[in-house]
Formats: sequence, C-alpha cells, structure tokens
Amino acid sequence: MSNAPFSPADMARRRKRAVIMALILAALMVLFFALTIVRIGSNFTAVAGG
Amino acid sequence: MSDLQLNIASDSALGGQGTAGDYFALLKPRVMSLVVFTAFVGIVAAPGTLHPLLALVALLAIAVGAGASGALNMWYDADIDAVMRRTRSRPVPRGAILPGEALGFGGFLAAASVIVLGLFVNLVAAALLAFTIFFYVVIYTMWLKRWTPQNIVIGGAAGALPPMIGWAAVTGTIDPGAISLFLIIFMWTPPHFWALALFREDDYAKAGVPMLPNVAGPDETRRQILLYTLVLLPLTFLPALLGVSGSVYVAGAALLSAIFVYYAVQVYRLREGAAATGACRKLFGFSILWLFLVFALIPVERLLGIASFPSVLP
Repeated sequence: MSNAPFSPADMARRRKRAVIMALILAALMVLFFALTIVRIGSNFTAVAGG
Repeated sequence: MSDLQLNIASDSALGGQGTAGDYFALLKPRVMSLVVFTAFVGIVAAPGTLHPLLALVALLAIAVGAGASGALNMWYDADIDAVMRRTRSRPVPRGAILPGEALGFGGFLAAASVIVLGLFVNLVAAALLAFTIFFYVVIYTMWLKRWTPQNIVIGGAAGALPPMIGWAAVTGTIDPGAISLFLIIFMWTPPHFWALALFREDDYAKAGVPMLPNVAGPDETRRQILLYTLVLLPLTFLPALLGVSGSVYVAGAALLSAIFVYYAVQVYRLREGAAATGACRKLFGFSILWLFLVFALIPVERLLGIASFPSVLP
C-alpha cells in the first residue's frame, strides 16, 4: 500500500478540477475587463452629455 | 460523532475528493436554472434599459448567488440529506465533498456574487441578492426548516426574490411591478412543495423535517394546497394591472391557471391509493411548467411587441 496521500486517480481528479478552475478564471478575467470598459464608456457618455 | 461524520472521516479524511461535477451539483443546478429564468424575466419586464453585458453579469451573479445558497444549504443540511431518499446521493452525504469544503465553497461564492453585482450593476440589486442568500441560508435552512410546518410558506420568499433582483438591476429600485412578480412565486411555492411533500411524506418524516403532511396530516395539506392555489389565481393577473404585461399574458395566464386549479382540485378530491399519489405528482410537475410558462409570457410579449396594459397606479 502506498504512503502517498493521494492516489493517481485522486491526482487526475485534482488536475481536471485545476484545469476547469483556470478556464473559469480566464473567462472571468476577460468578462471583468469588458465590464470595466462598458462602465467607463457609460460614465464617459454621461459626463460628455451632462 | 454522528454516523455521517464517521463515514466522511473514514472515506475522505484528507478532503479534496470531489470532482468538478460534485462541486457543480452543490450549486443545485435545477433550482439555479429556474432562478436565472425568473431573474431574466425581471430584467426584461423592468422599465428602462441595461447594457447587454451588464445584464449578462447580473444574471451570472444571481445564478452564482443562488448556487452559493444551495451549497450552504447542503453544508448545513447534510444530516437531513443523508436520510432522505431524494437527497442522500448529494455530494456531502455521499462523502465526496467534506462539509467544511461545501461551507468554504458556498461562502466564497456568496460573497463574490454580491460584490460583483454591487460593483458592476448597482447596490440595490446587490443588497437584494445578499438578503436573498441570508434569508435562504439562515432564516429558512437554519431556522424555519427544522422548526415549523410553515417553513416553505415563509422560506418561499427567498425563491421569490430573483425577479425583483433582476428588475432592480435595471431600475435600481423596488417597484410595485417587481413586487407583483415576487408575489406570484411566493404564493406558488406552498402548493408546489406541499404536492411534493404529500408523495414524499415518509422521507420528510424519517428526517424529522416538520412538513405540513406529517404535522397537520394529508387532508389538511390538501385543503391548504387548494386555498393557496385559489389565492394565487388573482395574484397572477397583478402584473397586467400594474402595466407590466398585456393581453397575451392575461389570456395565457387565465388558461394555465384554470389547469392549475383543476389539478389542485384533483389533489383535494382524490385521497386514497395510486390515484391520490398520481394527482400529487401531476400537480407538482404541472406547477413547474405553470411557473415557467406564465413568466415566459412576459418576454414573449416584449418580443412580439405587444403593448402592456396601462398601470392602475398613477
């Protein structure tokens, strides 16, 4: 019996979870960047219009 | 230490055993889909406009907030879930995810969803989302669910708030139109859940959850289902009176509500054997379809350019 805390199956599961987490974080990064542009754009329009 | 804790301790003492699918299941995706849909209707029904990307992020934050509530509910209710047939294969009672992991996951997502909604959309919507999560987790899950058979009547407020959050994301206010959408879901919840509780009565009794059928009895539950359905009927037309919806909504809601009342009457009439169970199952299934279709009529009217009625309010 191995003394390693995680079996190869555990490690594979963790790797898959880490990849999904990385993809979610990358998507959030793009989303928040786009949102910031939208918010700055709307503030700019409001200031220019007012 | 309870059997559940022993089981978890022996199977996954190290933690980190859950798959991405297990974590997704913690979010209660089926409940989340209904929350997202009703919040979307709130956004569409509200007067005013919202940039499509901001609308998307509002829906995302509401979905994540609802999912966080589900995860926190599964953390707290792991003991109940472990003994109920319907819920015993959930990730926490199954030992795939430790209670502490569910708590951390849910807590993080709850905070993140409220912060994102507040920063990018508006503070009223964020405050409503925070209140919804608090109400579902603390008021319903921790207090009402184990204490009173009125648990789902009062707790139903949490499930009824998403269209108000969607509406507030557009307007930044809490308006009568938004409250009318809230009231429909609020009054729909008891007949929906009591129909389920009638054919899952033994499950709730085994878990010690005081649902109406195992406290007041099936006959009283049937009477309450019919009463709540009859109160729901006029409330369904409130959005039309407040200028949120138009003639197609009124016609569709009238037809769908007539079917809803028919199924509720069947539940009231049929009290013995397979026919009674069948009537409860039909009401439960139709109630989900009813809510979806009644709410769908509002965006359909917008899409078809059908005018709403003038509001009765000045």
